[in-house]
Amino acid sequence: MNSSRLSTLTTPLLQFFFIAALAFGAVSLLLIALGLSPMAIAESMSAGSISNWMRISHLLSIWTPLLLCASGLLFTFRAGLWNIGIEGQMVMGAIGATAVLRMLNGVAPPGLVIALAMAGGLLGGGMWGMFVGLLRNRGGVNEIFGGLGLNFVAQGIILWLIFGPWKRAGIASMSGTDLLARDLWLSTPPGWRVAPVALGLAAGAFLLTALLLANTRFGLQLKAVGKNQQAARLFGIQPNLVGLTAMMLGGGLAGLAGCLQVTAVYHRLIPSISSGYGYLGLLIVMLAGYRAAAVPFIALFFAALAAGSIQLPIVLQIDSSLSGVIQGACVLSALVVHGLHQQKRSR
Amino acid sequence: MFDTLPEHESTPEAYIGGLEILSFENVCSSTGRSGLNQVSVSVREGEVIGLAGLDGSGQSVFLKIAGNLMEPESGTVVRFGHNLAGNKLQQNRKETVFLPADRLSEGLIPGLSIREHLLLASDSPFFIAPGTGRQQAKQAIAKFNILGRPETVADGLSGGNQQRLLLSLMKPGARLILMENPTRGLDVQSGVWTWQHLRNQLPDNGAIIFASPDLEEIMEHAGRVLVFFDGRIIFDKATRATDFNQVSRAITGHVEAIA
Repeated sequence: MNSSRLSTLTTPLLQFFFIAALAFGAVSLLLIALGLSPMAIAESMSAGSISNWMRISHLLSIWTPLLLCASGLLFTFRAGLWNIGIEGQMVMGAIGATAVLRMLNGVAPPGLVIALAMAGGLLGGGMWGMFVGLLRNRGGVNEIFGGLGLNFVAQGIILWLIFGPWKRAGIASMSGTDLLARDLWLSTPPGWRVAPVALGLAAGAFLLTALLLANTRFGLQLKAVGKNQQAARLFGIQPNLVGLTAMMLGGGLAGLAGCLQVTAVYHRLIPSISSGYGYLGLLIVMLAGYRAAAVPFIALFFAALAAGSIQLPIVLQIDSSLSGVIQGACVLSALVVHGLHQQKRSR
Repeated sequence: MFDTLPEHESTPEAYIGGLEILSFENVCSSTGRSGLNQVSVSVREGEVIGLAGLDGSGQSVFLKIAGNLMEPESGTVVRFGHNLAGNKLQQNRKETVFLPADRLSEGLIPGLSIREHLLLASDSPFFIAPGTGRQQAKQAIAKFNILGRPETVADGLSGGNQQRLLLSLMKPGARLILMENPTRGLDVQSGVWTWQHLRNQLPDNGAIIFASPDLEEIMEHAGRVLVFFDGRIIFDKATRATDFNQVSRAITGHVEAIA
């Protein structure tokens, strides 16, 4: 093995070591300063996320939307786009799926309705992603601002639907719409908290994403556009079209995540259907250094933090938002380490 | 400096009489320092044209419009018999090649390897198996004498090797080669090699148009020289019908004084 190949293998591992050490050190110092024991918290969080199959399957139910959102973001980041609008795309996917489920309930076989709801989720999220892309291409609106604006619009639409046309019989409630008919739920085996179909879809979507990025001409074009739009034109690539496709694919996968939240987790449409998983997806991909291979593991870690933090208030009387602090510390550490690495390379 | 525009001077009868492959008719653009101001010119098969002028006098804008990488605000550009108006802004790599001055920020993609550049430039299929193009990259590296391996990234190459990589990406049979500063930053050997390769690569029915701040390069390699001044072509002559001094004076806007 030559030295350059060795360095391409060791550099990410070294970076990961430094990121983990920095994040662990920063969070531990913060906790000690607050008079809390990092070890007790770590034990409590691991017990809350992986101590038995029920908890592991709950962790996997969080991993599913995280992996889908992060897979979608791999496309947009590869094209050099910051898809902050992923939350809105997830919401619109949930709305698209719910619309299909409500319209076709009792009209078609449940399996077909669920499959069409997934298509509705893909379409809803994909179209919302497309709007961000069109605003960027046609209106010159930066995708960050376009996406952020459309997040608010999507949140407005979901609230309007839940408190208006789709409100529960007799009363509108923040708890969401009426529960779906039981046969429209994605089936979950006894003792499981995650639907195997949802898990399979997320894993399949991730593998397909990794394949498209690494082993297709489209993946290469995304890379070219993300790194140098001007030069990409010289290769006959249309950067706007490639970027728009990335936004649609990213939005579509986020929309599918929204659909699965409806059909496999909540079994209804709720105002906070995205649960911030879109934003977490952004952090996961950044922490992964925009590399597909690391995404499932970091998503699993983030899911474990989210699942494990739920019992912190009960066991240690600590707010569960601590998981957000840890996630933030990890991403900041990653940005610092990547920044230092870039600086060293450019010298 | 650009207050008074000099008269246009030309000897069009001196040119090779091939078919027209590119024509500009009253083309205007406000891009860049001078933009283009009512530029009309015709390029025929077999011509090698050098564009001279002070930096920002319109040469770069001219090349980018000819390469369909920039749209003019008015006027007509016809390339290989097709009006470029309304075409999507991108290069038709089969017939036209544009080699920019800033190889790394405009022509190559930092972070992409030699193999990936060649895959992008070729008609590779949708699915690319791991290792695809490695052999093709090795051949290009050997043929173009690039100091690198198939997985060497473009930003890891020296300026001369970046230029060699750019040249290796040209489709065989490209009929119109547009270049900005083709030998800028290259050592003498690489410069000579670049021109030899371009001459060999160009088909009989093709043409080369290049801009260069190096007047010696223009006089040595071009058959015709166009001098840009304040966005206009003010001097258009066969190189054998003019000399270094005339072109130098034209670059500073003094064509009326040339006998």
